[in-house]
Amino acid sequence: MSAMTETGADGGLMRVSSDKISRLMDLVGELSLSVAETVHSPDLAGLELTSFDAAVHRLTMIVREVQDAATELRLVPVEEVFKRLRRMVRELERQTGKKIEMVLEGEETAIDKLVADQLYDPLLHVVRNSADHGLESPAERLAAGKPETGRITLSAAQVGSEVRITVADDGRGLSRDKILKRARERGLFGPDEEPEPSVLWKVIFQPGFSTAEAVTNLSGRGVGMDVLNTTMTALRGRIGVESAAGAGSEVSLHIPVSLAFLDCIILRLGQRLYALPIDVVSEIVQPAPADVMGVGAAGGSEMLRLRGRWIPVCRLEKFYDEPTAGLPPLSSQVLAVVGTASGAIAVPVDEVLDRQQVVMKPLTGRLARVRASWGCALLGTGEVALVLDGNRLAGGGGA
Amino acid sequence: MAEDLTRTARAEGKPLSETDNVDDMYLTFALGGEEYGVGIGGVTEIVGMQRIMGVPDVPVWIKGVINLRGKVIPLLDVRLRFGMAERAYDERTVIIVLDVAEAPVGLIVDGVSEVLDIPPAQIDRPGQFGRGGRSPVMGLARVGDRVTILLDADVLVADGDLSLPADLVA
Repeated sequence: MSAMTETGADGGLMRVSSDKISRLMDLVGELSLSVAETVHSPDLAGLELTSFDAAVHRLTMIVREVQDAATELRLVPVEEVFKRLRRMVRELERQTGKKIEMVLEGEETAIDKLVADQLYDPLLHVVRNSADHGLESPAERLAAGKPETGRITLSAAQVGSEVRITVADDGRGLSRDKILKRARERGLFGPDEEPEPSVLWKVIFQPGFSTAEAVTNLSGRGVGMDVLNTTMTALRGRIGVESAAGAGSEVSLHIPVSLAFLDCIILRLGQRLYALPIDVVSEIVQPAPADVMGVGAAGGSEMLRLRGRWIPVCRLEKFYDEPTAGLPPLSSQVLAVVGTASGAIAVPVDEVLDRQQVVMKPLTGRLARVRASWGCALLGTGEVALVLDGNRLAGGGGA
Repeated sequence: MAEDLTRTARAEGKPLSETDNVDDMYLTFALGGEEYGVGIGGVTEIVGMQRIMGVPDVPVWIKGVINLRGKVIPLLDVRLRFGMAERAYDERTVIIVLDVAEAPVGLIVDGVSEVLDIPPAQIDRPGQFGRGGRSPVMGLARVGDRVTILLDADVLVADGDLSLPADLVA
C-alpha cells in the first residue's frame, strides 16, 4: 500500500493507492469544515477583528487551493475509456458488417477516477446504439449519397465544472414517427400531443423503451439505456440528445468533474436547508402578485410568469407530501428558477442564504430513498442541506 | 458517556474479561418506564443530543440528520418508531449511533443505562409478539429481577409496520 516511486524515465511519476487519496480527500473535506466552523464561531460575534479577518481570508484561500489540488490528484484522462470503446467498435464492425470509422477527440480531458471507472458501460451502450441503429448499412449509405464508411465521433471537453462527453454518428438519425408512436403506445404522450424534439428524444432513455424492430444481439432490448440512466443519476450527470433525420444523432453526457465538492446556492424553506448546484440556477426572482397564478384544473398547481412566459412552480412541501398548515403565497417568497431537461421550473423558498462550495456526502440507509436528491451537502457552518436534482423535481413525485 | 460503557454490570457476576463475547453484550437504554437493549456489536458511539437538521421525504420517526464530524447520520426517534408519546429531549436524552447494514443510524432514546452481559440461556425468545408486521423484539432478557427487552436493530430501521405487544406500548 505504500507509495512507489518510479524514478527517472517517467519524470518522477508516483503510483499512489486510491485509498490514500480518498483518505486525503476526506481529511481535506473535514479541514475545510472545521476552518469554516472556527471562523464562523459564535464566540467571535460582534468583535472587531481586523487582522484576524485578513488571516481568515488567507486561510480560506489556502484551503480552497488545497481542495483543488487534492481534487486534481484523482483526475485521470478519459483516454483509457475511449480506447477501450474503440476496440469495441472494431468488434461491432465484424458483427454488423458495417464499416465504421471511430474518431476520438479530447481524450486528454481529465475526470475524477471514480467517474471514469463508471463511464465505460453506459458509453458502451450509447456507442452500440449508434453502430447498430444509427449507422446504415454500406449499401443504404451509398444510396443516400453518403460515404460508405459510417463515422462515430467520441469527444470529451471540459465546460466549466462539467465534462461533456458526446457520441455523435452520421447515420440515419432518430425517427420521430417511430419513437412518438411507441411513446404513445406506452402512454408517455397523449394521442394528440406533439412534444418538442428534445423532450421526445429523452424517452429513448426510459426503462424498457426500444423501437428496434428486431432485437439483435447488440441492442434493442432497451436494457442498455436503462444502465445509462442509472449511472448518470448516480454521477449527478445529465443526458442530452440531438438528432436530425438523415444526418445522424448525438448523445451528450454532462458529468461533474469532481464528485467530492459542488458549487451550490443554499436555500432555506421553513426549518429546512436545501442546496441547488450553481450551474442549474438561472436566476432568483421575487414575483409580483400578478406574475403568479394558480391552475385549478391542474390539481391546484401554480405558474410563474417570467419575461412573458409561464413556467411551472414546484413547491417542495407538495413534492415531498409534507403536512403543512397552508402554504405561504408565492408573492411572499423568493423563487429559484432551475433549468431542467423538461424546461425551467421555479422552486419557492423563504430565503436564499449563500453561495458556497459544499462537501458532498452520499445518502445512506433510509436517506437513500429521499426523492429528487443527489446527496447531502455539508455547509461551512456545519449544517447539512439536501442537494436537489431539478430534473427529478420537474418529473413530479413518482419514484 | 464513556464511563457508561465501562461501568459494566455483570449479570452473573463474571468479570468482563472472562466473558469477552461481544455477541452476548447489550447496551441498555430507558424508554418510558421500560428498559431496552441492543447488541453492542453494531454500536459505534454514544453522543449527546445535538442540533438536528430536518430532511424531507422520510417517515415521522426519522427526526432529521446530524453532522457528526463530517458524517451525515439520520436520527431515528425510538419512541415515535414504537408509536409512543413524544417527549421533549432533555439533558439525559442521548443518541446511540450504530451501523445497520453498513449504514450509520442514530437512535434517540431517553437515556442509556449500562452494558450488560446476557448469555443466551437468560433470553426468552417468544415465537411472535403481536400480529402482522415484523416484531422488533428479539427476546426478553431476565437480568436479576428486571426484564430487558432486546431489540433487533435491522427491523427497527426498516420501514415496515412494527407489531408490538400491547403491554409494551407505554
